[in-house]
Amino acid sequence: MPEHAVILLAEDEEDYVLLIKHAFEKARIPNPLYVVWNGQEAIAYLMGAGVYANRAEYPLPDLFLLDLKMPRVNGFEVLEWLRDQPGLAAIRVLVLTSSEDLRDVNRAYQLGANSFLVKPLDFQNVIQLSHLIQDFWLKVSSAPETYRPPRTSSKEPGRKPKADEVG
Amino acid sequence: MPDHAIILLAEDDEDYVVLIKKVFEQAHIPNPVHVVWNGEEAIAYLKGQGKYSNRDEFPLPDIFLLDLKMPRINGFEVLKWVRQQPTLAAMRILVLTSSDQIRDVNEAYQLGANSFLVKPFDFEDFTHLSRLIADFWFKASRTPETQRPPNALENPTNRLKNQGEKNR
Repeated sequence: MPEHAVILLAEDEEDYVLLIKHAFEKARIPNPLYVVWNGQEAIAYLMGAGVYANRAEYPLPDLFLLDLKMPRVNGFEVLEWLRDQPGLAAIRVLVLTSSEDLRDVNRAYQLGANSFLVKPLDFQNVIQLSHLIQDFWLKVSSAPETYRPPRTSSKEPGRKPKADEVG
Repeated sequence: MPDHAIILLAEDDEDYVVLIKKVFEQAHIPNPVHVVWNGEEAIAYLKGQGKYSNRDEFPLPDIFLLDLKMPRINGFEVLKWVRQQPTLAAMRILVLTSSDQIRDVNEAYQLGANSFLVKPFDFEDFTHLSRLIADFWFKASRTPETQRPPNALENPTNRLKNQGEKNR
């Protein structure tokens, strides 16, 4: 079961996304990894809105790796939004940031981050951290149930009819 | 620094406390472990109240291992209380319980548990888990600042009275 756990990564830096993908490969982490490039996309993904309307194609994550400094909507705002959504509030969020500022650490935990990790820059250290995340979060720690807010056609007037979604 | 990180363990089963201490020894985890035996004691410890008023002797923990099923005040209630205290809200709390009920998992995370761990009963599995906790939470993950709630020893009426006297 841990190999099927879905990981969502919110990260605006393409090089770092590649680095993480390589590290996961090297660490033999076979889990599906979905990437969103800013906070606005992260929220759309979690809601299953817009381009993420096909919820089978974009499943809710078992683990959410969240950068803090991102354009449009930043990581703090994503955290704050997430913890207010009844079906999503239990999602496990690991902040993964280049910030070492203690004020950011405090604020992230206060807003409900499950953990706060400073991005390792050395490739070996990224691999090591990936192993640790896999062993702790995907294997030993129990995962909660989560669900997306129910679709209401009145709130999503622009969404496609169901038949189109499947195809 | 990770060696000095303080662990608070809330657990009402004495045998399990002894087991955890042995496991930590076996896993070469030298960190100080403070034990409280129920939820009421856990809250008193975090407030620095009663027999925990010597704050040098009973420092705030860097990691709080919290059992759910405890007498008087249970783990869920402790979680809820901690998250309502502005100066303690960032504290890292790992639920460590024998329950593997999904309702308990959901509720614990919703109340703000940082992680949910089912107690291993095999000694080897437990040693493995302890090493993972030390490697992830003491070494890789950053620790927030926490402070004891202000004026925890006083009730609100006394606090107002004292402030009035100070202002004079």
